[in-house]
Amino acid sequence: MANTVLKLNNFTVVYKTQQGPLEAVRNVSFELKEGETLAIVGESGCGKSSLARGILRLFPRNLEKASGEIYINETEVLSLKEEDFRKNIRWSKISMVFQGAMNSLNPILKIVHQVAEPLIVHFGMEKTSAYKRAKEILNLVGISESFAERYPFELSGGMKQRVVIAMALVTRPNIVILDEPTSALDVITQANIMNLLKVLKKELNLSYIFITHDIATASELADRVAVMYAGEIVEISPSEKFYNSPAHGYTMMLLNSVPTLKTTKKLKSIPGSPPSLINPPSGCRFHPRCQYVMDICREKEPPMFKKDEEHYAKCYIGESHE
Amino acid sequence: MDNMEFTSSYSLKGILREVLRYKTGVFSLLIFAILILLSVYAYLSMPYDKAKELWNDSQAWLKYPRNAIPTWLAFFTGKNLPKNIYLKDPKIESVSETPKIVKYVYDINYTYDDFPSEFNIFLNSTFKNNPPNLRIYWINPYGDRILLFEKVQRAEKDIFYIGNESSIEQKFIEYYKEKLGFYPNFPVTVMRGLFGETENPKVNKGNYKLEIEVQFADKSDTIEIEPIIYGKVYGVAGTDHLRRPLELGILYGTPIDLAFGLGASLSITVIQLILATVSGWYGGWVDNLIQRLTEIYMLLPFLPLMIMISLFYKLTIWQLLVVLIILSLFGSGIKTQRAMVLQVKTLPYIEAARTYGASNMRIVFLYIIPKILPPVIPGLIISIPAYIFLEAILSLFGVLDPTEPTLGRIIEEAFQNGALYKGFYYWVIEPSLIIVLLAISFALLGFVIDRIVNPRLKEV
Repeated sequence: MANTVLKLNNFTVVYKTQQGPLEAVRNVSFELKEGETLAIVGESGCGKSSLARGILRLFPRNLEKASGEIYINETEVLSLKEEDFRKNIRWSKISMVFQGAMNSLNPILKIVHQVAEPLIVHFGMEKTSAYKRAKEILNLVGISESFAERYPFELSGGMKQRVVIAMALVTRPNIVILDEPTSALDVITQANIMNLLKVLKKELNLSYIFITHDIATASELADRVAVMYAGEIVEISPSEKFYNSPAHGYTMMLLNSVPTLKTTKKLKSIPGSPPSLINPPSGCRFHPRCQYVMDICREKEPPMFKKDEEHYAKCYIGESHE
Repeated sequence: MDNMEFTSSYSLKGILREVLRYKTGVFSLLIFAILILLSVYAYLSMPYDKAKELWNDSQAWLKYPRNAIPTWLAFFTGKNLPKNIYLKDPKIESVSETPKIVKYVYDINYTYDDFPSEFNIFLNSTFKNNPPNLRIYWINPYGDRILLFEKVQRAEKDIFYIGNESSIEQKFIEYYKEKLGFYPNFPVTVMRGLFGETENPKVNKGNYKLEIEVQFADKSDTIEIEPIIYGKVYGVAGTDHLRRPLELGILYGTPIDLAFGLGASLSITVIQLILATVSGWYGGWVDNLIQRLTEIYMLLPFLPLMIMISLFYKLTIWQLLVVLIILSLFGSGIKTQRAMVLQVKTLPYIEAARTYGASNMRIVFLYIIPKILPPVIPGLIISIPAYIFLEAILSLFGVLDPTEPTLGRIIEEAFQNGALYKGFYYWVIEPSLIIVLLAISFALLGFVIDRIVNPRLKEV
């Protein structure tokens, strides 16, 4: 059994807004094992990015409260001082590949400097050795040395994404959060990047948290899949179970809305739109849109039920409701 | 960004090549090259302090013509206007031993189409008890020998202003009356009397003689005589009312104006850029403070304030530059640049930089400012002439240090001395033309750089 590298316990992030507090992430708990990939899927605005940033403690200015516990290699990091967290955890233990490769690079820095930047500012490394290390890592992500001296605008989208990945890996973290790493790329480049991520994972023994709204790409990489809805993780399961036997109403409807290669089925969209997080619906947060809705769903918030081995879902479907 | 090597097209050379692709760029760089070469030449031939001292030394220019037009301008008048004639190598005859009388005879071949402007005789003598006595005769082409005057030198160094002596004028009126048989029907000035035809108010071209008989009081006394017939043209740029050659003022004034404009524009833009970035990046009360200060600054009446300050404190041009920078710290540039910062601030690469722990300073200077710099640079270049104009305006109001030879100063002096009223157009046009040339070349360079950094404006 592999070690647990990251563990979240009732992690909650609340933002301040003019209409009142907004729970962007609510009571999220999960574990991430060494060498494992956890995909977090969900629609726009469900709190995926807030969760990712929250793990790195990158809160926006209007943060009201961040509570719960985050364990990285069995140390609780949410209560650490900001300075200690920045020095010891962020980017050295856990790093992140940001959304949108096109804008993730400083246009006036050469990519080798860009990749070396975390080493220089984080570890105070000498420029020459940082550059050397940066070139190694650029090689690893498939960018030849001759490109190291170029500026971002001279690179294609896929290459930029590789540079961004190199930047996340240059400090040798164990955990990498990939925030929609392929969303701005064409399909072929997406496939290349996914393959690269697989190779890197194997070579460097990384653990990924892979955030996406694209279930198909998630299936490429994920060992386990967590489904987020309205700030909560509503279902978490090994990936085969996620695709074959979804347990939450939302997951079922979500999978019905995605085309698959092997079977022919009629696609069905999910009616309605995501709920307001300021005044969330009572009971199960998905009940206004759920086609399997029951009376109990409207009144009582479902707890996390154990559906199977390592398969949990916050849904009354298939449960005996007392 | 030290020891970062740029790829060739982004080096200084690359930028230069890019600028030279445009005709306007070539034009503006050419003007700069000429002006800078001239300035370098001026500064190498005479240090600035010395030039400034010379410029303000009224005694230094006595041997130059007053308000002479540039030599090349005379070409357009169609007349052969007189240049300065320095009379030298006289024939020296000893008339008698006791008392010692020596005669100095100067030959003059006057072929110009116009009368000279002045005629001065510089005297430098050494004597035991009494200064020498001078009798000055004038022999014109008619062969008449006229005694201009007889005078005792007043001090060891003395100047006889022949052109201003009314007694000489009177003498010539008598002479003309005698020659013509009637009172001359045109006004007779000293210059006309000396060089004119008796019948017509025209220059009598021919050979003249100036005879100076010096009677010394003692045998050991000596004298040096330096007669100068002043012309009406001088040099490349002419002279002003204090006989100063304008090219000196322009040569030394242009770099001062350039430095003033560049210094003001560069420092104001850089400071505003930093303030705008700090304001946009930190937000909160810092932002509030900077924005409110900017609004207050934008309401201040800038020019009256500048005039008041320079009137009260008698500032030199460089102190004024500091005042100008302080008064422009929170300019309108902060507003537009802050808007750009707010946009750049949300880009993922800045968030990424924050994530891996780049300090605020690093983000401001390495991430944000270089990103918003390209649209700022054309503005910087185009605003340089504005500050040169400001210098000219303040000079014109007479509030700047009057000892500093600047272009604005020259225009002000021309204005004060009625240059346009009296027809000395060159005096106003020369410094103005330099200012306009500077403004045009900076503007053109600004447009070219704008086209380079803003690809939508690029010529195909």
